[in-house]
Amino acid sequence: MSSDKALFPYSILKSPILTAKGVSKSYDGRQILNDVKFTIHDVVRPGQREGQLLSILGPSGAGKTTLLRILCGLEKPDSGSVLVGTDQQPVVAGRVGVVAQHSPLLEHRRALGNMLFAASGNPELQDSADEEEQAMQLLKSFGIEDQADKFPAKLSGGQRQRLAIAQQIIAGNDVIFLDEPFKGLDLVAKRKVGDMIIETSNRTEKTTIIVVTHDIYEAVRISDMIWLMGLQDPSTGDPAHVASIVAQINLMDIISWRDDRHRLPAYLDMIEHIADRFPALAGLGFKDPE
Amino acid sequence: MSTTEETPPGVFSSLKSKLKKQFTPNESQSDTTFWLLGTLQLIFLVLLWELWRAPTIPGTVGVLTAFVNLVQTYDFWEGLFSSLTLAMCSLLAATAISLTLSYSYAIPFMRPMVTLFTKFRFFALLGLTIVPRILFEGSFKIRLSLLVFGVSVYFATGMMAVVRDIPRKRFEYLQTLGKTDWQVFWEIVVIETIPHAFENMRQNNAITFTLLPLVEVISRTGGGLGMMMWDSKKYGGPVATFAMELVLLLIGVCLDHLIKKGRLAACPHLEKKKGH
Ligand SMILES: Nc1ncnc2c1ncn2[C@@H]1O[C@H](COP(=O)(O)OP(=O)(O)OP(=O)(O)O)[C@@H](O)[C@H]1O
Ligand SMILES: [Mg+2]
Repeated sequence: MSSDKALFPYSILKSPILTAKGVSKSYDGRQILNDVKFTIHDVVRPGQREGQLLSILGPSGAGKTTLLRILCGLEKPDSGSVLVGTDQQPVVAGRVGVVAQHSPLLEHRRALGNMLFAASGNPELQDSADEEEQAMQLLKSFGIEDQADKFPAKLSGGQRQRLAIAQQIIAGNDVIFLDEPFKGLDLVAKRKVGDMIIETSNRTEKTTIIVVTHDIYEAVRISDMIWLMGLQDPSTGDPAHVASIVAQINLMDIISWRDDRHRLPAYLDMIEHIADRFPALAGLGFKDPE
Repeated sequence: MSTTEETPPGVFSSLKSKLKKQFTPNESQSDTTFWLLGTLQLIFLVLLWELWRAPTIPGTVGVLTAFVNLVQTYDFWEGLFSSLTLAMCSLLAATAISLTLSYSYAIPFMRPMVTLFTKFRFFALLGLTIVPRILFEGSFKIRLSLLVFGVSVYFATGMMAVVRDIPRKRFEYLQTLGKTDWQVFWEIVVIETIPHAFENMRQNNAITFTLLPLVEVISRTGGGLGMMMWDSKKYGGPVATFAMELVLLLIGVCLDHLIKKGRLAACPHLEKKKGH
């Protein structure tokens, strides 16, 4: 499609890997999501061994978690559909990975046990020796190999989060959603988590991380592309109580070099741009509404 | 340690602050203090018993004497053996039945049946003796079935609530890891609830000891400590009954402690919280 080409001048778009088609959802007669549609493509950048890092950015209470649950197949939309994979099959739970808020883990298994439990479902890992090797390697790359023998209750919040992400990776999930990974963190901690997410997305070319957040600053700092979820009527642009995707911003074309992107003037411009367009989002990057 | 000149705080004021701590809500307590206070409180209770009991209620000395006499009789050991065999068999059977039923609550088809079973705790045990009397030969089976029934209805109720209240998020979490429905069932419904199963087993154990003498009495045949309490005239009257109560209490408490230890051994991820 020519419009897609315009969005990705430096990269080659391959087939879609996740498509939301007119997703709508109501709870108790109140509409939350209206006609959410977007497509995530398998992007290959020549000469780069990087995966993608995308964000869905929206104000608190907009319906981000609701959308995420639908995209993961944990919830059925009232109308519309979600298709995943290069074969674009309807999503079922387990097809894509997700790390829910507060990073759920198996509390009765040690960190390594958590990894091995997830590994046993991955057909790409041949035998238990293979699984264990991969598990230790992942723990190491997430900087928690010395925590392998600990139970999750003894891990810090950040370590839990990293273990939960590593668990999704070893389960064989290439597409992983993260729900509010920056919630409740201070600026420095956010930056660390953001860097960790960038590294995770760069693990393999196949990896696609989709961060669902209300944090403008981190979303703009780390993402290749952002979908803005706004409380707006998509046809008229009038304010509404129903959320949908109101804009798509390809940051890779606007602010490249994402390692120190936050030092570029374009970074702040972009934040101003988003904040201007969506007053409900402004400032949320620094304070937690709850 | 830092200033040697400092006058040590008066014994009185240090005791006062220690005492004050024992009346502050949510304050921590050392094991030593727990046992010291416990012993004092027990002595206090025994004193109350001695001072206020009606003359017809046995006194401590009487009960202890009866206890010493009792353990020298063959009948006591025979009764105790019979009761404990019954209790242990019932504990095992009730645990197996209740856990199976509670876990199966996760399967929609089984839900009404399990719910119905838990309502059976409103049945009067006394009237139900007719059923095993018709079904089974031999008093052991009759007593066992009554006891297992009486205990399982409570155990299953408690454990069913645990399974019912598992948040949907727990299941979803394993689904996102690509686990099958039965893998999710095993990990979340069975394995993750093990600490609760042990907690419920402790209650189960207590109910077993409550019902044990009753079941022995209402089944009428087969002896056991319950029958001996009922027929206490033969063994020395109310003092002997009290002594037997004491024996059951001690055994029950020991088992309770064992199950508690078992829980910690089976669930090393649990914080070793203080408490008894
Ligand atoms: N299961 C449910 N039943 C009824 N209403 C729900 C349910 N889940 C979410 N909602 C409602 O849908 C709206 C969107 O909730 P959602 O959790 O998706 O928001 P969010 O954008 O993730 O917010 P936050 O940034 O605070 O996480 C809220 O008004 C919420 O009350
Ligand atoms: Mg949310």
